[in-house]
Amino acid sequence: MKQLLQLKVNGEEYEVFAEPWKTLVEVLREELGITAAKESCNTGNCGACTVLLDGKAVKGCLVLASQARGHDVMTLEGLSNGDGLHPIQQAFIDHFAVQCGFCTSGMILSAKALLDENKDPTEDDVRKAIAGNLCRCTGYKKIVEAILVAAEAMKQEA
Amino acid sequence: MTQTSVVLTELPAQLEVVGKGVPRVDALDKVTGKAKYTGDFREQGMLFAKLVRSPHPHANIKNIDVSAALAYPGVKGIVLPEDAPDRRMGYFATCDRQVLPKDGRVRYVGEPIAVVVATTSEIAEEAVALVRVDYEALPAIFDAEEAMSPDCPVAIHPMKHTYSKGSAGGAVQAVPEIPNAASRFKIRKGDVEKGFKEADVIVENRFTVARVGHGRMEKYIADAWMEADGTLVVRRAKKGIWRDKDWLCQLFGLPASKVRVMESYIGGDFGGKGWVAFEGLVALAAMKLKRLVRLESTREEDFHDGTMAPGAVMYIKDGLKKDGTIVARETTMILEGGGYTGGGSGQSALCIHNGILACYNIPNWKSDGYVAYTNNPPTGTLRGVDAPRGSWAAESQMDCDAHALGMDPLEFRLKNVAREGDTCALGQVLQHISPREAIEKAAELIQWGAKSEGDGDWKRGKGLGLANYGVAPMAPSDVLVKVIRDGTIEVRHGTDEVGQGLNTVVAQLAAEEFKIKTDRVKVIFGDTLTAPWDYSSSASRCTWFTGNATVAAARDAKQQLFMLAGKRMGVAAEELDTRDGRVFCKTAPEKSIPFSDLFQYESAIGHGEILGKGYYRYQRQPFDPETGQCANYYPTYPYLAYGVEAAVNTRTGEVRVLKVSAGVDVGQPINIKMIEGQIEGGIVMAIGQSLLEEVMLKNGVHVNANFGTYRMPTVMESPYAANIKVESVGKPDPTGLHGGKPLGEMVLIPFFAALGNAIYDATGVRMTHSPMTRESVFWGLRQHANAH
Ligand code: FES
Ligand code: FES
Repeated sequence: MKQLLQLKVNGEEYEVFAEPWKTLVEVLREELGITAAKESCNTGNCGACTVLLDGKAVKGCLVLASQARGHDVMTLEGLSNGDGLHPIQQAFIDHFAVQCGFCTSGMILSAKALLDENKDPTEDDVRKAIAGNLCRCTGYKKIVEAILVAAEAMKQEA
Repeated sequence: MTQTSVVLTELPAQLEVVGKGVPRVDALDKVTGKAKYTGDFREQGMLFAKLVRSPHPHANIKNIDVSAALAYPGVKGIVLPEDAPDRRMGYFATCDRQVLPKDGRVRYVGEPIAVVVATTSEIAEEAVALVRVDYEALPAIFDAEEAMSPDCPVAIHPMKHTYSKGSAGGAVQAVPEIPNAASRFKIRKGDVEKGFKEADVIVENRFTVARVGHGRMEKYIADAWMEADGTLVVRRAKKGIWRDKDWLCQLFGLPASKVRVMESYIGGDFGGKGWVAFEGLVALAAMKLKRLVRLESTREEDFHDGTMAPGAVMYIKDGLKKDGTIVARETTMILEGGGYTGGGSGQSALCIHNGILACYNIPNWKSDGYVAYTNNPPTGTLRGVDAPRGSWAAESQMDCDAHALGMDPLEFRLKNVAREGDTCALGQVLQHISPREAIEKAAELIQWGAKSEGDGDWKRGKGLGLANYGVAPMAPSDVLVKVIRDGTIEVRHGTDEVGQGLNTVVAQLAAEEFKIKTDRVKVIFGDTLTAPWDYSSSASRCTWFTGNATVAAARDAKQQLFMLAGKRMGVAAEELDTRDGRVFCKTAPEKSIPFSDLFQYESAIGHGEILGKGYYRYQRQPFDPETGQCANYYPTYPYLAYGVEAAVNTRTGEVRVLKVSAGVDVGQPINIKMIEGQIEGGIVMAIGQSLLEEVMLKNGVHVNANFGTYRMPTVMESPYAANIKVESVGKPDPTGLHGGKPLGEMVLIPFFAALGNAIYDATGVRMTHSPMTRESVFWGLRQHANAH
């Protein structure tokens, strides 16, 4: 039986009807049409579904939509407000951290969760932060480099 | 409008956009989440399909009872084998696969038998469980060598002598005398027996390699519907819109105008998104139900349907002279193809040799490659189409050879490495090649010769591997280039952006022609209604084929532009050139005109826009199936060498890849940043496939068809960023596009043996099976300790 659910995503309030067993990523994608978070493994192993819940990176396939009630959900669509890009997005472009792009949303949000907490991450910090995000295309090198550059840019901005 | 096919000779020094690491044209879409993938579209009222699958590895279907499933609320219809065409499909070599098993036989666990369509995927799944199928189980076979034995009691495709060949099947032969052989490829060059007689030392080995999966992040998903005029539309997360269109036409006997195929950005391919079986199923459902139907794999199903790379057994024998020359090589390679090989592995009998046949100058060569049918899930193409397997054997063998002669592995390779003008194993003369420079660069970057210190239980070693890759000259490419009045150049191509960066490459090529920035180029792809004919992003062909066609189309468009401008400016077209959206006179650059004025002036007489057309074809010379000899089998040979430094824990068998170096010969690189990206990605995928990944099957049943137990490398298994070094060493190939050669699939090939060689260097243990899991290295160390 579908149930009414209130969700706050990227600062906007939504009301949706969804079965109680639906995961957060399913409801975002199927009911709200917010599709940047992807489904790939559905077992919590790949991180393609990563979203931020109150600023923390969580796997959207392991969280029921109902568990997100009362929390702030952020997806990649909510990252840059208006025209400008977030420094992480800019660094991903400039440093070729994107190939097929299927992991990109999860990678960028895992990076954001890290950089909001840790202004001065080491390469090891970055590796730990994205250890739950698989990328089959890039070999991670350019992703790690982009996140380190973004950290620097965010420090400059602050 | 003329169609032209060009070979380009512009000097690299004159290039402004090509050869530079310009940003990807799709990156903005992708970092903002605006890039659409097939699964991001969702229509109101769409139906969802799930598949009834065989629980048996080999069985005859006696009866299918769908009455309970059809009565289940929400079920809209069920597609059965009787609804499907008889035709068998396959690409390249063997057409052995029906969309549904209309011949009444299933050949692997998980083979689709029926398609259940319902209002939600949950309902469809529940109804699948209500379909009752009666089977008569047949004896099954899972081992390739057993399947190939003449007295194997099981014949998996008893009618295989009636199957037709696929589009590129010329090189690969049917093998009627061996009941379970799907295909064979032979190489006969020189006189191998004479070579072995001349040899001072003979080295013989047997290597094996496991089945591996693509592990691309986006799973299979396809939608199909019928338009009012009876056009079948299929939108899917797959590559090759035109190839699929052709296949769907053939499969269902539809005219070309009645099939439309679409795709979006693709979330990774690695060779696994070419095969049409999946579209056939969803198209059948849409045609029967006249509704929009979606079929989406679970991750587990994605393994079943995923045309994994076959496992293989490889025997290799080299004859050597004391001075270090290789005088003869003989190989027998048997691939375990599974129940069907139409997904591409039929061709693997040839392709397994493709990473090794142009690396060294070996005068006498004899190879037999076979693909065997078994009752495991089907196999197909995966990045490099089994060339990584052959290379695993041959480049491990190179180190065994060197050690047998007491030579350094680098010195031994350099002694035999192919030079300009040598002939490869296929008899083709090699030109514009730099394999020596590639291997020297890889060795230099990994500090070959400098012994690295171990630490406690950890021992360190270094290894090398070299590969060539033949770029398959399949089917031609057409490209359209439009000049739009605001100065934008629009490129329409019919292949795919699977993540490899093709859209950026064609944008760079067009930008170079018009001397503009890539942000003034708009790339349109992914719909047979709007994109011109091309084959698919396969066999690393796109940069060469689609790229050449792009340049030809741009030149055709420029020609028309100059005619138009010439009339307006009163100057001959030959006097004109273009830059930054203006046409100018070469001798008097101040005489110039923006594109927009041209169109305004001319629109009254009918020029709304300019449309340039270009195509590229490659003419292959006759090919001798008995010897594999052909004067120009592949248009070009790129090379890649890896150096690997690894640490091995001698107590636990754990292996860590510490450093990787790459020397790459892709001629003049079109976009060095994307070359690096492909290689870095290839290295990490190869780390996975050589250390961690193995598709495990027990009596044909998947044991680890999920990302929890099919373990792919995370960043933690990857070397630190500064420890991956890539350098380009090639010289421009004058027959190539701006002097460039393709790269794509080569990036896995030489890694496996380079790592095995590093493990040997560290421990003295020669690994003969890949993946070199912790367990297998542990037992290797044990045996080695006992023997010494
Ligand atoms: S889809 Fe959620 S972790 Fe893979
Ligand atoms: S860019 Fe393709 S999975 Fe990361």
